[in-house]
Parts: sequence; C-alpha cells; structure tokens
Amino acid sequence: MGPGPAARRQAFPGTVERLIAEFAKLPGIGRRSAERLAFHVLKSEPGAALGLARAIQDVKERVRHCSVCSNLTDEDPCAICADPSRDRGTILVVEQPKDLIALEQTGMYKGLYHVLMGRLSPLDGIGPGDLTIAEFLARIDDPKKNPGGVSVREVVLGLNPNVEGDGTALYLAEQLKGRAVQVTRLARGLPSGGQLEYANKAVLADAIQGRQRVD
Amino acid sequence: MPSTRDQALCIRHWDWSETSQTVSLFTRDHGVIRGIAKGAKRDKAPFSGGIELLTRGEVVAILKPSSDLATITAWDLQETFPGLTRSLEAFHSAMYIADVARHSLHDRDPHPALFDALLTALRHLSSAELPPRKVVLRFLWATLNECGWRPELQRDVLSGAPLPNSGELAFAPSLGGFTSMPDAADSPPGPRWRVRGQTLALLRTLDHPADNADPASIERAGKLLNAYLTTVLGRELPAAAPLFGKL
Repeated sequence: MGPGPAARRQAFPGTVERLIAEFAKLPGIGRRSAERLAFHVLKSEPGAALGLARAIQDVKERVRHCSVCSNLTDEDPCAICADPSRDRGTILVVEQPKDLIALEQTGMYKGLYHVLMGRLSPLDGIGPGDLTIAEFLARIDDPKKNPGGVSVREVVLGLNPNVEGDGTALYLAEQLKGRAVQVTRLARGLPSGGQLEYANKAVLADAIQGRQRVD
Repeated sequence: MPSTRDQALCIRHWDWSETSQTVSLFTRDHGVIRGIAKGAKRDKAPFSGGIELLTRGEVVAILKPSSDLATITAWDLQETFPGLTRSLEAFHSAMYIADVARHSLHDRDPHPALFDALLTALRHLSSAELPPRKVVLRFLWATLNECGWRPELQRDVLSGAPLPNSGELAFAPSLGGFTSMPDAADSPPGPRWRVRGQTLALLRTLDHPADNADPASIERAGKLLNAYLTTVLGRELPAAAPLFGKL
C-alpha cells in the first residue's frame, strides 16, 4: 500500500504543492493527474511554463463579452460583429458562446449572433431579466444598436432542443410578435447521415413531432 | 444489490458532466428518487438519449439504504409532452407543478395518487384540454390533500362554527383554514388574508371538479393555495413567480 494523501502532500515543497492543488481544481483533474501536470511544468523550459502562465493571465484580464452580441471576445465589438462581409440583417440567437462556436465551425452561417448567456429556467428562478434579452430586443428595435446600423430582417432561434430551450424560444417568439422580423428556428430531429434503427427514442419522438410536408 | 423498476416523471435534472446527469425522478411506487445517471447522454447507453425534464419513462435504479443518491442504470422514455412548449402559460404551469411536487415530497416517500395527478396534469397542459390555471389549481389541491395540508373548508378555524357560503372571509395560513372573525381579540397571532366567499365555494368543489368556475375565481383560488403552500413549506418556490408574481 502506498503512502496516504497527507503523507504525499508533505513530500512536496510548498510551492509545488500549491501548483498541484490549483491543477486539481480543474474539471476532470484528480490529484494524480494534477501531480503529473505539475511535474510536466517543473521539467518544462522556463519559456514554455511562463507562456502558459501568461496565457491564463491574458485570458482573465482581456477576454470579456462583446457589447453587441455578448459573445466572448478580446476586442469590442467581437470579430463577427465587426466583419462587414457578414449578413447583418440576420441574427442567430444561442444560449452560450460554446453554441456559437459549434455553429461557426460548420462554416454554413454567415449572419450575426446574439448570445443569451443562458436560458429561461423557472426551477432555478432564472427569468428573462437574467439573460441578455433586453439587449437583443434593442438590436431589433434600434438599427443603430446593430453592427453597421443595419435593420434586422430575420431572427433564427438556435436554442437547445429541450423543454427549457423550447420555453425560451417560445418567450422570444412572443416578444418578437408585432415586430417586423421573420422568426425561424433551427430544424430538429434525425441527424444527417444517421440510420433510423440507431436513433434514440428522444430523437425519434422529436422527428415524428416535427415531421414536414413533402411537396 | 437488487435494482428497482418503476414508472417515473423527471421533475429536475442537472448536468453532472458532459455525458452524465443527476436527476430527481418522481416515481409512482417509490416516491421521489434522486440519483446519478452515468453516461446517460451517450447514444448507445440505455437512457433513451438522456433523461429530459418533464418526460415520463420507466426507470431502473439501485436504491442504496446508505446513500441518498440512487444509481440510475436505465431510463426507457415512454411519453413526452410536446404541447408544454406551444404556450408560455402551459410551459410555466408545467414547471410550477414540477416544482410543487419536488418541494412538497420527502425522498422515497411513495404517493402514487399524486404521481397520477401530476401525470394527468401534464397531459392536460400538453393537450390544452383544460385552461392551465385550472390544471394548476387541481394539482395544488391534490398536493395539499396528499401531504396532509388540506385546508379546513367547512368550519371556522377560530370559532368552530360552520362557515357561511358567501360574504367576505379571511384565510389564516397558520391555522390552515378560513374564519369569518379575523379580528377576534383572543385569536392566535399570525397573518389573515382577505378572501371572497366565491373562493371558498370554488375550493369546496375541487374534490369533484366541475367545469363551470369562472377564470377570475380560479386565478384567485390558485393564488391563495400557492400562498398557503409557501407558508407551509417556509419558502417561495422559484417557479411560482412567472405564474403568480412575487408574494
């Protein structure tokens, strides 16, 4: 049997133990993995290790939310909002920056985004005032608040396909009623290239609910 | 350890990791089970693609006496309620009744009648067969009855005399019922909420609900029972605000 946790901690100098403790706070990193990472840092060239430290510092000091779309950015407005080649009349609404990244990686969408920073979650007491819905509606109502001063023609609701995401989409659709914009939502159901027999029940149920007319 | 199989409604879920979930499931014969479903979101895992809020399924779980957290080993999705997201009122009503169930019940304390009431309520909300406010009122009434918090509707909680059928009354939440003499000098301390006689008359019909109540009375009765439940539980339910506003 190896030494206990307390004995292992005492075996490291205080500064190394501090580094291990910090690594161990990261998601998915246990004590043993934290020790491996700490030893990797110790063995690295000073430039490489300090480069990691500087990258962490820069991220925390420079990354903020875009004042237009709330995406994460280190320049305001973000690169997407500042890009004049994008279709500024279309806004795709997502819950989180990571959803935006997933959509951007497809290369299929050329419009702008709006990140809500969450979704309606009544069970957690999260309501419209806790999201960036007011800022989103301001972009619709006042073209000056949308990049290039362009009026929004279409809003694409790209929320997660679950009950809270759908509830949020419903709330937004109600808010957009009476405003001169077309409201669409991302399609849902069977994944392209998949096979029916391997689709799970939730996906199949969704696909049946959302079946479409073939003209 | 033997596993347990039961019908269940998912009344709460949290992401535990990219593929795992922790859930609160209201099961028919075992009450509320909190558990961890490892790998629930993996396509090939026996969880129908993940346990989604406000869906019904058959759950297989290992209930350990030594732990509050069960191990959920399978979830077979059997019913979804797609109509809950076709109307904002249905959405908020469904969230609210799930919240009521979660906060009113102790873990692993079976209430099959309340499970059936919740399932019926979700079906009514999804199909838009009944107005959401009426569904909420009926479920609140079922919860108060099942949990032993049913308000006294026949006798004055201060004097013991039969309550009148009309006129203005007061509801005394700490005493669990109505009174027609809220300002009596020797009455126990506690809040008194003014209530119309029609509200009491409506509550008296809830054991055998008729469909002739007017929407304003239903709204008032729902607000009253929500406020009473808040007092009984000692906390405001997060999902109540969109339906009833802040107390």
